[in-house]
Amino acid sequence: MSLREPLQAGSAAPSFELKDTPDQTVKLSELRGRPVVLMFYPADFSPICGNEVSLFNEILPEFKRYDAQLLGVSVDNVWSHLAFARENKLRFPLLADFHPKGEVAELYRAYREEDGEAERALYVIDKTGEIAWGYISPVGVNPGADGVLSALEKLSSKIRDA
Amino acid sequence: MAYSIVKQIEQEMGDTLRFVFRNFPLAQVHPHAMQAALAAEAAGFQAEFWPMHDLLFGHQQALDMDHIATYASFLAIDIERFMEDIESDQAEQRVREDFMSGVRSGVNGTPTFFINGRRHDHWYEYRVLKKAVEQAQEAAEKAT
Repeated sequence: MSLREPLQAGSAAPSFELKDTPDQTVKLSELRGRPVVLMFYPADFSPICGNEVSLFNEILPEFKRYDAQLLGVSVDNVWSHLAFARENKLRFPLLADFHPKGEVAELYRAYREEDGEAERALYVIDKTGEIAWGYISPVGVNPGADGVLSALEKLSSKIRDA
Repeated sequence: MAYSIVKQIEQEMGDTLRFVFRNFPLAQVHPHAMQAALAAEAAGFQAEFWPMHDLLFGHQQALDMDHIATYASFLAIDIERFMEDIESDQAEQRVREDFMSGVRSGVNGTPTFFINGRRHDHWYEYRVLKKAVEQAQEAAEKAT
């Protein structure tokens, strides 16, 4: 099975606005000025996803050091997200790419039409709204957080050098 | 579960296998994971890391401080020092270093196995893990 290529570094991150709670939305453009980590994952409550979100939840303090905002995205609805977040004690928003289903995942080349779910894809978006790094993992493999941290590290050293 | 599988493989492979353990406490998911990791390191300061490790992993449902103190009393260590070491910066730093070095090597949850430096991305069921270790062993033998 061939893997999709992520959006290229340097291209503009597609804008979006998605619900993170029943009555609130998160807009990518509102996060300008900070790096954003986008974590697409196939489904709430699936075994690998539980591990992946828990890992990212655990390293939130590291993301804070880079002032980065972590956002999880799947095609589940907000109610499912709320339950999933509660069960895993998540302290970052999960966005519902639910209606129209998978629209944002599609924009980020992270929608698996055959399963109707998001890929396991990771993006780091810089503070100007450009893609800094992207990775699409085989769906059965939890990619871990090393790539994201390296990308954030690179961004912050760029800023220091400038 | 992973613990007993590793034990079995260790026993079967004897000196041909070296098992290295690194802490990776997912504290948000497992409320006692952090103090268990600290307890093993604190015991390690008195050269009793593995006995404490075995006690902790043998009793994963009982990892509160009372139980940890009881496990410590089974070991040949100075309990008072142990209780201080659990809360020490050194113990915390060791666990933190393990955790971050794990993240940077691609650890993606617990347990994550690396066999001769490569992440094992399959199930860790006994037969699968054992076979992967044996294959790594064969590959290493061929390479020398």
